[in-house]
Amino acid sequence: MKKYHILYTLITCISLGLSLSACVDMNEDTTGKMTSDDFYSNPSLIPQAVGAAYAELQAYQNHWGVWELQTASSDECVVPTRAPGNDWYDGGVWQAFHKHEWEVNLDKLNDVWVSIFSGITTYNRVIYDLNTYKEEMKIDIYNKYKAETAVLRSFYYSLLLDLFRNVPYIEDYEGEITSYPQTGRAEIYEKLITNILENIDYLDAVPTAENYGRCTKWMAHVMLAKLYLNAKVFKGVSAYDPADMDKVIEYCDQVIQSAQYEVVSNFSEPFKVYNEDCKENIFVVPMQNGINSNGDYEFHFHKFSGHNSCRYVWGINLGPWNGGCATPDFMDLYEDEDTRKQATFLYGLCYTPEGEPVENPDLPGEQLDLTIEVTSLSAANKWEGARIQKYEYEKGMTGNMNNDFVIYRLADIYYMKAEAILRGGKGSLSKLCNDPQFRLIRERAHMPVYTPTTLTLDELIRERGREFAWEGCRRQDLIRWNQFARGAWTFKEDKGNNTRDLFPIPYDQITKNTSWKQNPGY
Amino acid sequence: MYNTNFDSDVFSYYNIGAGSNLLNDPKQDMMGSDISQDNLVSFFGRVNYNYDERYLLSASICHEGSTRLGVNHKWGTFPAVSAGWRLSNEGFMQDIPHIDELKIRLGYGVTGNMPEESYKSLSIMGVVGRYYDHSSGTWINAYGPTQNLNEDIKWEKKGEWNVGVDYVGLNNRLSITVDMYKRKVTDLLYTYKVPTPPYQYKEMLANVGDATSKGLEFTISGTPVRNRTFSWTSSVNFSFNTSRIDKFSNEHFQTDWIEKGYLSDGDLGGMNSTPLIRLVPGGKVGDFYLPVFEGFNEDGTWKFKDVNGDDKFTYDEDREIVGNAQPDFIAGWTNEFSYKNFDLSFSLRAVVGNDVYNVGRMALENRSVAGTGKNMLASVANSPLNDAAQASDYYLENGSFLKLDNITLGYNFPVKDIQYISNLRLYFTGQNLFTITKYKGIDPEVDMVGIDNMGIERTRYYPAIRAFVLGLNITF
Repeated sequence: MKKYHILYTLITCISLGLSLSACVDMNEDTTGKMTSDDFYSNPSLIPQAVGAAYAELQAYQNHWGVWELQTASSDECVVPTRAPGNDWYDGGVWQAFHKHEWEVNLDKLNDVWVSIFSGITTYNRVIYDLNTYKEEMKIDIYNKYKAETAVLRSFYYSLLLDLFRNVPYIEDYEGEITSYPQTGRAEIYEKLITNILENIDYLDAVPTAENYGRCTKWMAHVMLAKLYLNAKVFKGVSAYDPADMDKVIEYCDQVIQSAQYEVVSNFSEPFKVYNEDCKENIFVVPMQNGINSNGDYEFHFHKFSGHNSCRYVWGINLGPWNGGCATPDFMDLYEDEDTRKQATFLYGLCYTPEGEPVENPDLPGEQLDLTIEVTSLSAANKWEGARIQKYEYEKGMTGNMNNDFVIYRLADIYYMKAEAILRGGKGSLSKLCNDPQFRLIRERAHMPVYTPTTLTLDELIRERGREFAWEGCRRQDLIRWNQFARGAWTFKEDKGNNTRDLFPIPYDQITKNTSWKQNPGY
Repeated sequence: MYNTNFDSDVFSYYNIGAGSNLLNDPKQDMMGSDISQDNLVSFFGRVNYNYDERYLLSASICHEGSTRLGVNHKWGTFPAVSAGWRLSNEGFMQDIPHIDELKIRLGYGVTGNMPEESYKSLSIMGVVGRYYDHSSGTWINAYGPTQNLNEDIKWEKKGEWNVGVDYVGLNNRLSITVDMYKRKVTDLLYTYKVPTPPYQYKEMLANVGDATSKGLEFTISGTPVRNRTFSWTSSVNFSFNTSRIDKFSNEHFQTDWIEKGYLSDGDLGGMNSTPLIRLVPGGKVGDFYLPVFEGFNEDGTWKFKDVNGDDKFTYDEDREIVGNAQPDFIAGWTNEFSYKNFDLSFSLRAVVGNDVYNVGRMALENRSVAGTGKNMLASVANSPLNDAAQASDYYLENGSFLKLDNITLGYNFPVKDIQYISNLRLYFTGQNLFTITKYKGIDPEVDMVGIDNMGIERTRYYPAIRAFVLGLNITF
């Protein structure tokens, strides 16, 4: 009987315990946390969800972002491995970019792919959320936010068209990116044009403080002009279509005639630390030191390019990393009288702002002489190469740059118009050459203005290099002139074919969908 | 510090970083605050049964719930049972000499492990970046999903089998204990990368993996000498263990391998994100996965094994399992001597069969890394190496060691006649006096538990101290 007593007690205790557990509330107390339900039940927070779309742009300019793929692979920039110390070897990445020898499984390619698609995913998610909560917003607010996000998405897809080309075009938020089939390049191209045209009227026509750094009507016009200008490359046809060139001229004219922007008289003004009010800039990414703790979103040309002792030349309070510099061939594009050469690059004997010579720490007793010549890709001396100083570096700065990164500016519109006319569009070259704003671009560089005889396509690609150095469009320009994969500069040879005009679909992505085809030649 | 202009009142007092004032004031650094609450409720019951000091049984059950788990699996049930048989109390054992106590033990139990953080099962929004509003001249927090909804997070379960034997004999002067165990962990929690879309956020905590750990431990202690003035007690212990990951993928969450033991720029420039350790399904925990050094070319450049057969060296493709951070066994030996009022004790410890990756040599035994005018290891003078730094098994060394952990000599003053003092002892201790090892770095005893650093001696390794202590104990 004693044994049963124990057994009954045991069973009672166990069942009591198990049943009591059903009465205890084990849901988490979410005080102080914001769940998705908390967020979306508050419509005044919606703009901050849209803001996430613009925050994505901050990764664009970083030396590990899209900008890197466009710049380090062109003749504008080389990042040699420095000796001694193995600095900037980074697994051979930079050497591969310069020589056009990148592998399909290069991590950097995958990182950029993921970063761009992460932006597109954000845009699709934001549009999805806007649609879900449409009823709770005023209709013009909804239209404006949706238009801005759709245009941003088109901007990112234009990057994909440019870099990888054979990607899936996705507008919903349903399935994994690699589960979609690749969309044909012509189809993506048409979709982008349609998307922009559908939304362009909801965007602001007058640049104001409210829409600074956001998509405006004229920014969308620049996008359209660029899409039509690159139509031959993007669609993969054999010749430039004069109808496309007409469209380029049409959109460029609309930007010019809006009278919202002007070519400024000082070449460096669009790149100053406080360049928010520069009337030449059409679309920028606002940046500020410390605003994003992710190192991949920092704007730090000074750190990326400056020699360690450049701090004494620029008056800044940190030691740069001695990485990227201009290729000697790119520096040859400039005449010595071209004031843009020294406004863009720092080279030669180095002095402090007070005129004192700066010492070369690796050659004690000698003055730092940043040579234009780069003698080796795998073991360059630390003082070799011209360094970027196009963006103003704030005196005494200890962190990253506060300058806003320029994506589109008016000078580009004028040169796009010139290129379109030269490629068969309907327009008067002599009328353009007489336009005071067009002439100002050369005049402010102290160079002779162009005439219809001197402004040829051969000259224009060189001029674009000089004017838009390190702004992220060089690779796209060289490809239009068939001088990218087929070009040769410094340690890079003519590849003999056009495979490298496109980056490969990264290994990590293409292995996820067996129906996807790799880009030709890889 | 203070903050104003908060994004939402949902945060109440608990998220000081969510106000835009702090963000936009260049004189204040960013700060954050957080709150975390969780509840753990357990119902526990145990039964002990002892029959005649010979047959022992213990059974328990625990029913636990944690708020941290997903809504579908808040509760878990964890039973345990163990049985013991004290053979030495059996009638048929009474006549066998030299056995004071002999017991056999067998047990099985399940315990649960919950996620390390709360709120992992909820869909949460957080700051994903900042954007600029030029009309107010301020930066504003941008919000997006920072965690996926995950209603299936559950208890990680560990089931352990244990069998042991305890023996005491020779008038309590000898004791031997042997234990064997096998632990199987199921529903191992790990944070997987997931694709976005369809997920909202790129990572998710999930219970997927299985791991097994098996081992054997034994201790032999005895008092070889005991007489009126002198006694000597000695104890030896050994433990052997193998830990493997059985799997960490299922149909929803996959990863082919997990790489750990990353080098960073802080260890050696240009080596950012180079992983040294790889975990694969079925593999042992702590396997080093590195290129295989085959010699130097005449010009001093590296020659590595071409594992994937493509005649080119790429770090990712040309690696193999070349060693393991875990030891084959660990042993210890403690001795205590007492002679009249003196006592002397020392303990030695050995770890055998563990490999250690010597980052110090990788950075400082390479001329092209150290450069001119910098300190290097003396061994660089004999090194034919003339190439950039590269991680490989050239720097993986046998880290087996024998250490003298502690030696203490003490003297107890005779205080029987002193009125107020009941005990007075003077002692001198030396700790960490010597290490015998073939390892060329500072100290082969590196972290062997934390999966991120297992078996790696980084260049910033802080050496263990050697201490000498002179002390006096007085008891009043």
